Order: sequence, then structure tokens, then C-alpha cells
Amino acid sequence: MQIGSLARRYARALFGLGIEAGGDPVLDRWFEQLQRAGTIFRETGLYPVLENPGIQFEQKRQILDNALPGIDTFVRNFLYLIVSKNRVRLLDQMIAAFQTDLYERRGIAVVDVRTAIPLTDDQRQRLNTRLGNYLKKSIIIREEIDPSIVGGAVILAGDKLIDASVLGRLDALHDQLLQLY
Amino acid sequence: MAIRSEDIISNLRGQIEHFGAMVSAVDVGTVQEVGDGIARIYGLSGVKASELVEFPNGTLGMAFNLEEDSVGVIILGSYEGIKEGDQVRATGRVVEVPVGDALVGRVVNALGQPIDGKGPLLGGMKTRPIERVAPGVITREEVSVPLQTGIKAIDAMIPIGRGQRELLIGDRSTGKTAIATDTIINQKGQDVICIYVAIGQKASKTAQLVATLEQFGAMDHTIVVAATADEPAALQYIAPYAGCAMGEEFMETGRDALIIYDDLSKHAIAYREVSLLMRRPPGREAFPGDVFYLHSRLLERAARLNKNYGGGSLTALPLIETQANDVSAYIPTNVISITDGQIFLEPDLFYAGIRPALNVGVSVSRVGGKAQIKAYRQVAGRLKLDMAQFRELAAFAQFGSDLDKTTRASLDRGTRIQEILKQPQYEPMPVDQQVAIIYAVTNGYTDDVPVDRVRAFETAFLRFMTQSHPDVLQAIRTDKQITDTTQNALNAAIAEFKRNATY
Repeated sequence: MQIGSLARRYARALFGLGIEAGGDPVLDRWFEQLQRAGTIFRETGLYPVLENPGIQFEQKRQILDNALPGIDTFVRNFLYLIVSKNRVRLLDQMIAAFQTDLYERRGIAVVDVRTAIPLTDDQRQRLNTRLGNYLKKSIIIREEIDPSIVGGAVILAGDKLIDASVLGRLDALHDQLLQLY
Repeated sequence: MAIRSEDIISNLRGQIEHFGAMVSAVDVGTVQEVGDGIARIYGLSGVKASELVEFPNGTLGMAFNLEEDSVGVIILGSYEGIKEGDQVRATGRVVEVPVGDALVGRVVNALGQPIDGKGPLLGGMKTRPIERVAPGVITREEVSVPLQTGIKAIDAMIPIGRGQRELLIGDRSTGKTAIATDTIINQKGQDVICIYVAIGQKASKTAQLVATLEQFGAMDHTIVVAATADEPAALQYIAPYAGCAMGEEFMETGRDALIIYDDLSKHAIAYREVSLLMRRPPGREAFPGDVFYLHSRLLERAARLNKNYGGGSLTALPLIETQANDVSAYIPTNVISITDGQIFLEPDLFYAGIRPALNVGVSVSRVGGKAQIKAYRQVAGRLKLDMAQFRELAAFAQFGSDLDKTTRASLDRGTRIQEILKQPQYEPMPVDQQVAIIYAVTNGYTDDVPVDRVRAFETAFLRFMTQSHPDVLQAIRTDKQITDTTQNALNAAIAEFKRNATY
């Protein structure tokens, strides 16, 4: 997901408050509550309602309280804030940004691994270890099967790509041979 | 040298056998939006300014704007075939072009790829980045060796030296490109590699120019870099820098090169287009704020290097097109302040039959006499003076017989010099012949020739000199000055010609 700078700033503000309010347990709880809010908004079609300028803010506040009972004060205030500033559409991006900050804090990296055939447990383990050493973080691997790469793996960690697939090597060979003649 | 198919096959076998693909991490991003020759990329967080990036279909781009969330990339090629969601890779290189002797005689595009249909560039290809810091003060040498354009008006009064930057400025169709072409033709046998960069020109005009150069055997020492009007603005923007990199290769290996930018007005317009699409704030005439830097960093790379650095040189002849003779417009004033002089071409003079349509009074070469051989300095000093006096009195020309003798003489001399300075296109003149004819005029030997016969006199006289007295011309060429013996010989030859020949 592409995270815009606006969403990032909102999420980081809340994150900072979370660190001061108690650290990791608080952050985890808030993250779960944010995810819940996002799911509810999406599934009950609340986004258009919360964005509607014809509805008074007081009414929107009521709707939020009814939809999300028992969430922490700061998370509630956060939701009030983004509704009042008409930024509620960015909630999914803000959740993603919050998660990024969480992973950053915990030294976790999410790595997308695309292979032609499913990874064996042994391969997964070795990949985990090697990537962990390379990135100096603990790794969460998201696997995807893509037969078109023929063999090997394409590994994407944030902005860095490692193309160790057969298709990639064939492309590189193709370019190199073309350069000769 | 033909390449045998057996060689190709064995070479390819070797490549395949020993192919060691280095697997390494590259920076990637995703295309957010693409169009109008630019793309916005999300990601690419480690990319550097002006770094080369690659799109999935092989097209290259240059990272132009580095912003908080995204990277603005200008596409060095066609933007069709690139779509939203495509993955873009950073290459870790800045834009570079092939350089070296393999390029001489070829027509290439702004990325150095051949477009003349004569096959790929041969030989091990060296490349250079197109952007570079200009030579520093210590590495340079004073300009003192002439670059002969072969055009009398220029070589006599606005001489250009190797390593100088001289601007050719004027309205459309005043002869700017014609002067550039003649200069290229005149470099045959002078050990100067010429690079002609066409920026935003009509493809037909460029093709015609290449055909003309081939006709006069000038393509053997010329490289043509073409970013014609149909090319994307991004390629028009980098074309001059690509040509300059090619020129620098010769300069830094101890050779002399000449580069012609035709023209920098269209270059500024292409840069403005790309900058506005990238949302850089517009300034005067909607040009971006760094349009001066655009040209200054290009032209500062033309220099003469001292012996410790090879002694090579790169001479630059930028062209600027003015609108209605307005030299105080934004881009013209910028480039005038950067170059070491300017040559003004005016439509009034052109239509009055004075071609090349140089306005000698306003044109300047800040290197001046230092860029002339001594022989030329000996005759040309009088020339500028005579022409200056002539211009002052030109208004009185209509009064005909009502003038005193000195004024009459000055006017007569001036009209004859003016006739001599006219020159047909594609006929650059060697410097020894130039010295001979200007010597004849400034010493009064043409004063008794009717004005409308002066050009005929010139043609016949020079033919006479080459056929009957080639030793005199040779002496001028070798000594590079007019010694007393040469002067006597010249006087005698002129007298002989006037006695016998008809014109």
C-alpha cells in the first residue's frame, strides 16, 4: 500500500502518544482497535456518512461512540480528529503507517518472497536466517507463487529488490548478449 | 571489417558459459502516474538526483525531482508502454553516453544510439557521464590558437580561437546554421573533430545538413547528435550535455574539438517544458529559476587545457534565435553574458544582400587578435578601422558628389571591403587566401575596380595566385606572418595580375 505523507504524520502522532502512554502493550492494543475501526467503517459503509458535510459533527461523534464502544480515549480522540479534519478516508493508510512504525520499533521487516513452487520448511527457515542477517532484523515472510519466474526467488524488502530468479538471470543474459552486437 | 558468424557464435558461447550473474539488491519503486513524458514513482527511496532508472520495457528515465513521497522521473524515450503499477529499478549510474573515435562520422540520438542505419557503434565502447564539473582555473590555458571558420568577415574581424565560446545570435533565417556548417566544412584537414548537436530542429533540416556535410566530405570528421523536434523534451534537454561529453573525451586526450549547439533557445524551451510538468516554480517568461545554470554549466565545459593536461581544447559555438532582433530578452542576455563574444546576424543586412549578414559593429570576440595568426593581424587591424569609419559615414552615401575627398575615399574603400566580405555559402576560404585578398583591398589595390566587379576581381585574383604564385600563399601559410619578402612578392603579384588579367 502506498502510504502518503499526510497519513504517516497522523499515525506517527498517535504512535508517539502511545509510547508515552505505556509502550508496547498500549501500542498493540491501540493497533488492534484501529484495525477494528477500519474494518467496521468499511463493512458497514460508514465512510460516506462520516465524510458527509451535511451531517453535524456531534451526530458523527454519536455514530462513532455507538460503533466502537470501549476503545481507549486517545484512539477515540484520534478518530474524532480525523473525522473533523475530513481525513477519514486515509484511515487504511494510517493503519498501515502505524504498523510500519510498530515493525520499525520492534526491528521487524516484512519481506515479500515470490517463488515458482512453494517453499519447503527448510528453505523458509534458511531464507529467514539469511535475510535476518542481511537486514539485521527479524523477518516476516509473505509468500507468493508465480510460475512465470521459472525458478529461484524474487525478494522484495521495502524498497530493495533482490532478483535471484531464473527469469531475471535470463533477462540479464539477454541484455548482455544484445550489447555485444 | 566484417564480423564472421563463427566468431559471433563462439563469442556468445563464451558469454553463456561464463555468465556469472551478480545477485545484488537494487532500489525499486512503483509507477503512480505516467504521461506527457514524465512519470511519478512511489518508492525509490534510495535514488540519487539525476540517477538513471529503468522501466520494465527497457526505457530509461532520469530522476529529476526528489520529493518527500515520490520521485519525479523524466522519461528518456517514448512513454507509451509504461503503465501505472510498473516496477521501476534504479541503476546506480548517472546518465552516460558512449564516447570516442567510433562516433566520428555517425549520426546518433541524445543517448548515443546510432540513428543513421549504419549499424552499431564499433569498437570497445567507453562511456562518460553527461554531467560533469567544468575544468578548474589551474588546468586551463589562454586561448591563442585560431579556429578558422573560413568565413572572411569572422576570421578577419571577429576571430575565434580554440577553446573559446562564441555565440551566433540572430533572427530566424539569417544564416546562423549556414555559418556553423561552413565552419565544419572548413575543419577538413585541420585536425579538429566537429560535433553538431541539433536540438529541437526539424528532422528534414538535420537530414539535409548531414547530406550537405557528406557531399563536402565533412562527415569524416564530424559527429551529429540529433534530438529533433519530434523527440521528447527530456531528450532535447540532455542532448547538448551528451554532445559535450563526447567533445570532452577529445579535449582530455589532447585533441581539439568544436561543438555547435543548434540551438540553445529550443534547449531552454525543452527544459522549461520538463520543469513545468515537474511543477517546478516558473520564473520570468515561465522559465524555471535555474535556466541560467542550465547554459552556464554547459558552456563552461568548453575550454583549452594546458600542456600538463594534454593541451586539448573544446570550442563551443552556441546558436540563439532572437525574436525581432531583441537581444535584451531573457535567454539571449543570459547566454551573451556567458560566452566570450557574440556574432550578430541581422535580417536587414541579409535582405540588403550582405551575406553573411554580420553586423560587424556590434559583434565582438573577446579573444580577438590573440586568436589570429600574425599575418592576419597585420592586415586586419586596418580593416576594422576602415569599416568603422565607413559605417559612420554610411548615412552620407546618398549625397553622392557633394562630399569632400577624404569622405569620398573612405566611402569608396568601405563599399569595396563590404563587397569582399560577402561570401557564398559552402565556400569557406583557406586563411592564406583570405590574407592575400584582404591585403589587396586594404592597401588600395582595388580602389580603381568598379564596385560591382570587385567580387569577380577577387575570384580571378585568387585563382591567379593559386596557379601562378602558389609559393607566396605557401609562405604565408608556413611563416604565419607577412615578412618583407612576402610583402614584396605580394605587391609584385598584384601588379602583374592587374596588368594582364581580366575580371
